[in-house]
Amino acid sequence: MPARSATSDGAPGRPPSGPSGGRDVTPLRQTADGGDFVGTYVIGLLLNLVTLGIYHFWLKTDIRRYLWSRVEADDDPFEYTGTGGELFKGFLVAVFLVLLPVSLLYQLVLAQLLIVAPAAGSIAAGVLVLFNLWLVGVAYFSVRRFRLTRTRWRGIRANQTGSRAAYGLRFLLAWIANLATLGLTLPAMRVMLTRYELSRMEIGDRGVTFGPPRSPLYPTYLLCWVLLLPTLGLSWFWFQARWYRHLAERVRFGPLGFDYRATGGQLARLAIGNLLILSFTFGLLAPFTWARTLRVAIDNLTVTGRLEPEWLGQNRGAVPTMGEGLFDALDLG
Amino acid sequence: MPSTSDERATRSTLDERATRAFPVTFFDGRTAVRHAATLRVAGDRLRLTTPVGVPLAEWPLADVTASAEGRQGLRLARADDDGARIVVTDALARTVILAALPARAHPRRLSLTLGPVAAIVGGLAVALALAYLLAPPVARAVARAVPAAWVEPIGRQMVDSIAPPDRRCDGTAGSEALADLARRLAAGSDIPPLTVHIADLDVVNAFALPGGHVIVTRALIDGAASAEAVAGVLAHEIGHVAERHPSAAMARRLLGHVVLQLLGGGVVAEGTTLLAELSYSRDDEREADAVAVALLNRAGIDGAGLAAFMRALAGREAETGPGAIPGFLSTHPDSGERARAIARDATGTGPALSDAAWAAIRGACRGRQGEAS
Repeated sequence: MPARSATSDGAPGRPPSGPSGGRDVTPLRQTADGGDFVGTYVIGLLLNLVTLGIYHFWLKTDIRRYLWSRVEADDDPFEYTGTGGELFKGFLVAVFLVLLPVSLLYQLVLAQLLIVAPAAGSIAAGVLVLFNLWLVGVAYFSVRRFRLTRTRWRGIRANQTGSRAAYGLRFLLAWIANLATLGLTLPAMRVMLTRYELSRMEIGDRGVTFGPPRSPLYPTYLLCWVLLLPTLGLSWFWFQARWYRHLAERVRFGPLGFDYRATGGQLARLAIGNLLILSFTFGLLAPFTWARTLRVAIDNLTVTGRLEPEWLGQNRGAVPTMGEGLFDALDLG
Repeated sequence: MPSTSDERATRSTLDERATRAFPVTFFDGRTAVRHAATLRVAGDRLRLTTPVGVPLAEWPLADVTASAEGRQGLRLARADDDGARIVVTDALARTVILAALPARAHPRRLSLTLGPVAAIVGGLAVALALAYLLAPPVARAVARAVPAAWVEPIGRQMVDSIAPPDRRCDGTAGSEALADLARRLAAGSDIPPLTVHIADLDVVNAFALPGGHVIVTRALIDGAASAEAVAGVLAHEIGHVAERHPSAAMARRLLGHVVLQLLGGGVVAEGTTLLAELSYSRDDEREADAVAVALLNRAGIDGAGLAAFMRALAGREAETGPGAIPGFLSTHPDSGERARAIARDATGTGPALSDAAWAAIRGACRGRQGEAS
């Protein structure tokens, strides 16, 4: 096995191609401060007010450009290359081609039906609810695809393949299952959905793999589920911590593995702290909450293994030309 | 040529800078490999070579955009982004390159500058003005296009919600007389079929609902000074039906709701749509008044009754303030002004009803409790 070249000051050198060593780590760093963006954010909010909300597509874009650039992998930052115009176009398409017809359909036809033939009307209303849930799933998947295709690292773009219609269906089924079982199927459903997303995700010309579990999820979940009411919802954070760790364990990208070690307590403190900051500043200091979140996310995430740069080529997949309009139009943030 | 040694020195420094080579990092957009490279600004293009001089790429300056997020220095990319990046950390290089790039390619904090924002605001103003002007005619066209059979059940539901069947005085001699009066008023015009209801409610009010439904409350009948006043109110509501105001108002509200959604539903947007709706309502009321006078005139009924009714309401308005006024007045134009307009245009002089019919109408809700149903 070729010898590793280590520099004399002890810094790890790069081994030539071969299996990743157990101690090899790709440095992942965040440099978010929040303070350097508050000014831009507040101006953005004002412009948003003045333009009756139209500006917010550009504000979102600026926020993402800021956040993406504050995360560095192997000393190179990520980049967000989307534009506000793309989001705006997507919004217009979603509103005029989907939301408006559906809304009119509901107001004119369904309302009539409910009066004239209540039984048929109720069935139709039920179908419409299911359709809306499916749309939410479709929108969510479109959002993922858009954001991934607008993310670059060293110029290499990510992507999300797979069918958003199929994802929407899985999303709908997950919702029905969770509702019917009062949430007991939630971990399994999450795994189902995440597997669909991640196993079809590409970074460059390589795929992400979603592997088998290393430790069970359900024991923690059941405990948190039972303790949900007694702890006034706080046990949820412990499940979330377990969930992210479970996810990290199962995701691999080439030679890279992931390890996420944030605790439920950290997540709870993060959420509560952010809530307090937002409430007491009317949302104006939101950039600080993003910085805090980024810190918890990135500082607790370790990327094991190292990439050979030549191994990662450019993504050649199809790229959506418009933004996640449906998501926006449905007011899902 | 005459030049000071200072000018010569400056010019030569600039020339020097122009041909100086700067160390940069280059990502070719094909793989994630980091290339150490040398960048020169050569005329109208950026020339990239390996440190030993092997050419790597040439980018026309017109195609280049720069961004400066985070702490990584200047990142250059091409307009038709294929992933290639030039990362410039050298401070001098930054200055030279930014000087060579047009202002529009410089890094920006806000991706939309004040110019486009002003354009958006202007465009919005125009669009909203248009929406305000076009909403009534569009809504009216929609109201006329929708078949009556669709609208009637909605109207009936609304009637039931205002006054359920057990609070209505239908099927009595009084309600028959009122329906008769309505037929007389509507005779000879192409007004859709009317269904008049008397609601046993204590609030003085009258409604026109989609599908030709009209409700008059018992309190209004009791409080009216004469049969001609009731006839006038009835004619006013028939006017609403004739002009399809109820359906058009529904269509307008639907449109307004959609516009509200588009604008994100803020308080300002809601307030604005409400104000618009109120102004449309006042226009509707004026139209209904005009039709009412025309119908009364054609039936030969004395319009003074309606005018007196308006004046009485105006008096109540003045002394009790808006809180005690029946709901429909808040969207109505000033009652005193309406009374004057009606008095001016009314030509009829005859009675609205026979004494017997008038008595029957006044008693329509009294015998109701005794009727088994």
